[in-house]
Amino acid sequence: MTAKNIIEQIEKLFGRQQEQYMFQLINDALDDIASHKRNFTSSKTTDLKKHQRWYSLDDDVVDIKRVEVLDTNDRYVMIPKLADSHKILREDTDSNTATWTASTGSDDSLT
Amino acid sequence: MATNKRTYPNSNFAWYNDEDRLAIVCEDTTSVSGESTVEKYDSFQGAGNLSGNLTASSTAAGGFVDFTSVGHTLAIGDRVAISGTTSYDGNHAVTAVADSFGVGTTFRIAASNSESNEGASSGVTFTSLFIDNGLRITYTAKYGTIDAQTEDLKTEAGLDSGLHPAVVCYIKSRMFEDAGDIQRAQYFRGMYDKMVKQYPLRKSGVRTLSVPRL
Repeated sequence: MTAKNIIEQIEKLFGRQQEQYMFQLINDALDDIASHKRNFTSSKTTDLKKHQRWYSLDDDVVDIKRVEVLDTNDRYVMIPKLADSHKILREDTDSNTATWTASTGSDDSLT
Repeated sequence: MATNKRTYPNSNFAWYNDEDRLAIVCEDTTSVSGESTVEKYDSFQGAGNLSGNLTASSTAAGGFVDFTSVGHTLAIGDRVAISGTTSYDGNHAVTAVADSFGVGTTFRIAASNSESNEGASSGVTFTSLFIDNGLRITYTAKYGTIDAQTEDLKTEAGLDSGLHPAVVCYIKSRMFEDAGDIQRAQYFRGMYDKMVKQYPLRKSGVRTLSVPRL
């Protein structure tokens, strides 16, 4: 069903409507269904960077189901989630590092 | 029997997350003094999986140096470790790349450009400071957004066609609510909730796939 089909059904009942408002309501419905059903899964890959702790998540991520790392046979292998990261990393001083700053020379530190 | 046993960049990877970020940690295999962590887990410290020989280098205006490595797959922003040179050894960020018919030929780094050609001698190499596409996450996602009348809810947004009528009920509910007709708004809201709750419908009760014996 296209957006046009939906708008036609609504306009048959309510008369002519603003197109942008219809798109907004359709997208509201999609967000509401996503929050209830959680059956739409997606996968993305990114580079595993040396000395980088944090990777930002896109806005479309609702719930992480699985995280995998590429092994030396080019196969993705699932890795476990830390249930008590606050204990294991309680004295880790760089855990809040969020961004990587490109640098030249031999400097490879996190900023 | 498999002859090549799989190995990992590090056998103790784990992840955790906060609201909008994902953290990847692995066993701390280094003992570098002055490290910012004292825990057994630390950020990934292994080697990258891309490397190549540098066959030539040339200086460029503005404090840049171009290295030639035919077949490289580096991209802008990637970080590499260069070795074997006199002046450019160390870690650098790639600021530009060039290719010929889709095959990478040169990449550029920011560096003082005093040396003319350091790639001519043997043993000049680069190694990536990352594993290319080394991380994959699978997640429950929001549906895509609709912003044109021709867009299909199945192909553009990813919504199963069985849930399309629920979208119509949701919109009708909102429209009646705007008009102040709460009774009809609640009726369509109820229909919407029922459709979403019951989907996917399983009238047969068969929930397993029967695989025929071959």
